[in-house]
Amino acid sequence: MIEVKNGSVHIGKKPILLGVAFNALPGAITAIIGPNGSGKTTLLKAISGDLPYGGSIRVHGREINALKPWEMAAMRAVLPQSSSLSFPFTIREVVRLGLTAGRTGASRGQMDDIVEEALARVDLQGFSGRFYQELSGGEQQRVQLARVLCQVWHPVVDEMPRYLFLDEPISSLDIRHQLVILDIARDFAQRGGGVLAILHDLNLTAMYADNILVMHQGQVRDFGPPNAVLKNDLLQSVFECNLRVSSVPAGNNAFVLPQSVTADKILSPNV
Amino acid sequence: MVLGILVGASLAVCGATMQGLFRNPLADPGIVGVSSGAALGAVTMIVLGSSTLAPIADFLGVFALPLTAFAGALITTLLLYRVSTQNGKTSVATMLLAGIALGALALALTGILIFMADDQQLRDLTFWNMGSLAGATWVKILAAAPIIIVVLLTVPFLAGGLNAMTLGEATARHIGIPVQGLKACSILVVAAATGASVAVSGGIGFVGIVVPHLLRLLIGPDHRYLLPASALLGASLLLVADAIARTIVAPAELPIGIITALVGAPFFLWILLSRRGFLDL
Repeated sequence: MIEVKNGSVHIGKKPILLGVAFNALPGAITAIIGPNGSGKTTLLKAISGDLPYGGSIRVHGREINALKPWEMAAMRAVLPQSSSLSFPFTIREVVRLGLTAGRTGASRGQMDDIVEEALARVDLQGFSGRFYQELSGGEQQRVQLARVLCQVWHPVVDEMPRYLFLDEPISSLDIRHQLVILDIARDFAQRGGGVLAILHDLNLTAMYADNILVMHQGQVRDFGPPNAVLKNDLLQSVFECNLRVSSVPAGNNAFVLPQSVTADKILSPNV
Repeated sequence: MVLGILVGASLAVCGATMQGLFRNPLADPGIVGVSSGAALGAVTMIVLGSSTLAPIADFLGVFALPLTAFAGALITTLLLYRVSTQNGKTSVATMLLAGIALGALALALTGILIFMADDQQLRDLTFWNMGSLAGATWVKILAAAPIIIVVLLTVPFLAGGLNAMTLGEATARHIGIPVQGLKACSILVVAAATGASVAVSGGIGFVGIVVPHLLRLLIGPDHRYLLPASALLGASLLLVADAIARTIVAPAELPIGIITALVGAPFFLWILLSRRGFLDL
């Protein structure tokens, strides 16, 4: 379990995060939503061990600023919002980097199999010999996800659940691949791992998330299951726009329909 | 010839390591001012070794030049690290820019020393600065060889980390690489080998940039193969250049730095023009 208590991050003297508290459970997808600049990425970076923080952030009961990079790497894999590659590696080589510190104990042949299978799961079978720089932005994003999957190939190792941290994993993907990637996240959680993902699509969040953390101005506004959190008043005040939450006819999911930037326009359509 | 092998391997491996560390195919000890710092150390000893620094020069004997160049390289590298590292994190962009500034400062200080030099020292400096293996003696080799050999034996352990660094510092750390340690180790190794090479052979340029480039085209960018291959190709290339330098104006000997620059600079420009898309500049 990931436990954040009174978590804070300051850049200079400016607080970016204040008093953040929540738990991300194994076996579940925890989504982080909120407007641009609300501190979502800062929160994920702090939990990834990239930033100095105040308060307490623990993974499996251990404070993360006391963990070595390789100990962290055995517990979680991180998909950044954007990635760059400075030298012309092939797709196979990039994905294989995920196995560098995973201490999987896999043989060379098994590693090659894992790489190929990871690529197949992100719908990139047959791409392994191509150069990373030749791919489109969405394809590169999926290559990075395949690399991240390799690092935590088994969601549970020695009864210790491992985590996937995903920063906007579907932001540059078409609708089919948005579903492909979120299905991978759900599968990872169902096999006992934990997923912490920053998402912008509220409807996909409602479909896939087990818990939603709503961030606003560096603080947590709400935390709970989708049907408890996705409410008109909360979303309208957090995102500062007019929208309507209803539910999908055939199911139990919340459905968010955007309407307009300000409530005034709805009230007086002639303006 | 032994010196050529050592210096060639050392320069090429330094280049490949720096490029991996800085995630930039154009990084080189020459670019971040480490070579200039080493040169400042060496020039200080050449110019002041018979006057102000005479006691030190006498005490160190033949090791005076390698050691002062090594000291110059290390001081430059540590300054560079100090300037560009905040909260234990090194910004590569700041480091490259700081390297340019430090290199300029070292050049200016070197200029003052050259201004103070007498005619004989000027002649020594000019030839040394152009890069030459002509002054090779077993004593010089014994002074430089231990440093260079330790470096060559160390860099293979950095290969996995440098591969991960290709994805950026944050991702390398996420994969489990102790990035700060990797950077510190790479910097020390590069400073040591650059100091040793510059002291014994002066400014032999372009080996550190051209060799790793050529090899990336041939065998790919994987540092596990790139680093040892750079050592081999760097050594071979410098041997060929040395043979040319010795024979082309025989019985005189052309400074080898002129050969490497004459061949290396246009070659480098050609790489830039033909592979621009791949370099991701």
